[in-house]
Amino acid sequence: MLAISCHYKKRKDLSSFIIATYDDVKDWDPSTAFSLEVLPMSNIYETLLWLDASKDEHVFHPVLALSYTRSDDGLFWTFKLRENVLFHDGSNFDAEVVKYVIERNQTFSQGPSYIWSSVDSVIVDSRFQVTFKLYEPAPLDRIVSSQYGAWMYSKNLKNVKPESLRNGYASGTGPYMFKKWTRNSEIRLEKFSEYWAGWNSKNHFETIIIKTVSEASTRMQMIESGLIDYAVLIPNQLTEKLKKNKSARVSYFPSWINHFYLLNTKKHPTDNIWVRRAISSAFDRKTIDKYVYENQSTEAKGLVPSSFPLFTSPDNMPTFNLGKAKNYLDRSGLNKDIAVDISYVSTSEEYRLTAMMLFNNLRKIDVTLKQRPGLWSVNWEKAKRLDTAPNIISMAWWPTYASQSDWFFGLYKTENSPLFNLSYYSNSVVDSLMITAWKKESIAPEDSKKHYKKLQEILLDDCVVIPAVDLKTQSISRYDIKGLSPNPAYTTILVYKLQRDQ
Amino acid sequence: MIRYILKKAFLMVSVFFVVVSVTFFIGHILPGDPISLWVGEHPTKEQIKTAQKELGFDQPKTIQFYRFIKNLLKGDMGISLRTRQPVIEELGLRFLATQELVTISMFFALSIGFPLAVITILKEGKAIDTLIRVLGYVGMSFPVFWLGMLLQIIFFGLLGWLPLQGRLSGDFSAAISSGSVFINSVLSGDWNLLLDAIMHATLPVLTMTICITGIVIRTSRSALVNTMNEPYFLTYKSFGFTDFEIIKKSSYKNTLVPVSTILGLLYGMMLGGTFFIESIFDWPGLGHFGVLSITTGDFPSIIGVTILYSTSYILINFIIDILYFIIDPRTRI
Repeated sequence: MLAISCHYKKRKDLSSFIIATYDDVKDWDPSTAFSLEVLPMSNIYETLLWLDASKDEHVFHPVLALSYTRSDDGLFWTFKLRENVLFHDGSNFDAEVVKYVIERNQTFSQGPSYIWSSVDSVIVDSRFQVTFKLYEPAPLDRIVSSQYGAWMYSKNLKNVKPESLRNGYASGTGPYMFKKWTRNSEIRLEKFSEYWAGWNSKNHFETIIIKTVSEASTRMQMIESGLIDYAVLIPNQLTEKLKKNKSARVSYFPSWINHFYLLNTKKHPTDNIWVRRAISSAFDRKTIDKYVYENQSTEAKGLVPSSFPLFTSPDNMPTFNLGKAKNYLDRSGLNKDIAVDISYVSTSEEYRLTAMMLFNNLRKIDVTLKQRPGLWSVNWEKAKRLDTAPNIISMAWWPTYASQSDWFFGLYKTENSPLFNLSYYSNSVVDSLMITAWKKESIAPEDSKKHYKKLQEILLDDCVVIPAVDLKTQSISRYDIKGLSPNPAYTTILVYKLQRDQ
Repeated sequence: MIRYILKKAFLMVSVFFVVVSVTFFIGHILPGDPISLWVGEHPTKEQIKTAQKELGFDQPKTIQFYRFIKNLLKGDMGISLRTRQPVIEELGLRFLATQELVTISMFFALSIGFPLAVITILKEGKAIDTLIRVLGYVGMSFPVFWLGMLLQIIFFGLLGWLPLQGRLSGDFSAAISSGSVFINSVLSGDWNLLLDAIMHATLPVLTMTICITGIVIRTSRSALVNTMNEPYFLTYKSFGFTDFEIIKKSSYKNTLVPVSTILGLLYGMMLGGTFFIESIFDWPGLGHFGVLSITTGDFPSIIGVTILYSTSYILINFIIDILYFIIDPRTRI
């Protein structure tokens, strides 16, 4: 009777790795997919290189490219490709495939296709050697290892009808191949027996099942009961309970996502640098990190996450000091009754609490903070027009590939009509410095590092942004899953590397 | 009869057109940039421009409306900006799932609620009457979200008798992903599938049934009280019939008009009010889809969902009007 009664709590097949995530994929095209698709795609497809950013020294591991060289001017990059690699549809991987993929990706005007904008042409040197010719020096090793838009896929994709692609299709070289997509329910991947790296260990998982479970409390019950092996995104208040459960393991790893606040430099009263400095000095980053984000973050040490390549902390990070804030305000020359507004994403409890804390601190120096919570799409649309833009806006950012330039180009480059430069900042020195820093990333990394540091210092000096926290990635798995390792360069799980403890 | 139906049908089409127009223009003036959903997280200006052109958002609203109506008449509601699937397909997949859930719950609520209402009338003022009425109020007062989670904890977490979420187990969900699972399984004679579907539907149906049975009891009871005060009821009584005999022979018919009105409205309300139940139990239905579309500003889907709901409401009311015509001879005059 007991056996029958517990039927639904029993896992039938332990050779499957089951993940529960909060939303379904929406794009099966590996060239344009730019969101949760990374979870199935990183197990189906592979890139030329794989960036291991788990340690201080970041290393590029060979995947579909065995080795690479670059010319001194950084304009030519030659990749020696791995031989005897098969796609799931039986076709071969070679230099022609690389050329096809890059040229096809460049034709799209959506998703991460822009990462290839510096590529002039792809030259096939031989069947297993390919050279990229660039318009300008760019960190191509970082670009080809991107988790978005850099997957190598079969040339047979050109024969796949859009409708078939829309209903789920994939053919990569990775360890698992696409089997079935039941929309809004689950994705099923199966072991690719001819995977080039082989299946030497007996403990590899045979199948991956990615379930869409929208409710966090349901995902939690599933991991507690052992119905799944890995749960994505469970709120902090629930994980506290989960930590007491020995059958689940809750860990936090560094990520390359950070939270910060942009200050509008064109809108009254934050067009006054002393007001911006006063607000920045009233921002208690340490307390916010400790009590608002708890164990989900580390205090920001700069404008990009501190574990990022070529990162150096700027020397002028603002510190919380209300006395200083009051002095700055006195120097602003503005009368009393200063009011500023902040818009933040209403679904985030962290943003709400941060805004409350800033409200209390600013009140102590006689500044009124009006809070305007809302959906990101609404906040963003308002912020793009100066007449409706707030003085302060909450932002979260992560890079498409491992380059600090993503933050600087996206957020601080001069724009006539702002897209993400929501501080309306314009500085020709900063504009040219970010281009130089980006071009030197691969040919002169130490110079690039200095430039990025200088960039941060100028932006902090002009008080364009208030850094808040570097977020951590949550990892919730069953106790018997081995092999999960942190790598902030990728927000995914490589199931091939995992095993169930016997 | 035909004239009555034609009159109602004309009214139905007019209401539908007004709803479509209002929904379209409200959907387009809502704050927020829907393009951000389509182009992804960090789009470039060029990407935004291209997407606006591709989706026709660069055209004046009147042209967009004209195209929308033209496409709608061909059965095309556009593409969901959030899921990138045709809206009509999304609605088709989800509507039957929600309808199945609501219809089964409604069936149980009626089967339990109406007899209980009759009992409360027959045993008015007695302990059983009070008990049933209290239970009805309690059922109505339960927050759906809380009740669903409580049932999950008991029947899955503690007892392991019923599945936690989903419409079918993994193996079956790969075999059948759309349509009415119950009808499909019966027609194909796949009894394992039917059993699996029943087990998966039990908790969401139970949650919904508990929440609406109270409404059925209250509505039916109040309708019965009214009929019992009618002169014909007293006449029957003077001839020596018991209350139960009178209700069985005659009174229940008189309660059908008010009860069917309430039930029609309730059915329509339930179709749109399944969000919490669908979220908790991962039931791939329309309520969850509708709310996600609203919170993300996916306006082609918002318009699609609104049209579907309003069509359901209009149709249900149309059917009720026809039923009035059949049930109540006074409407034929």
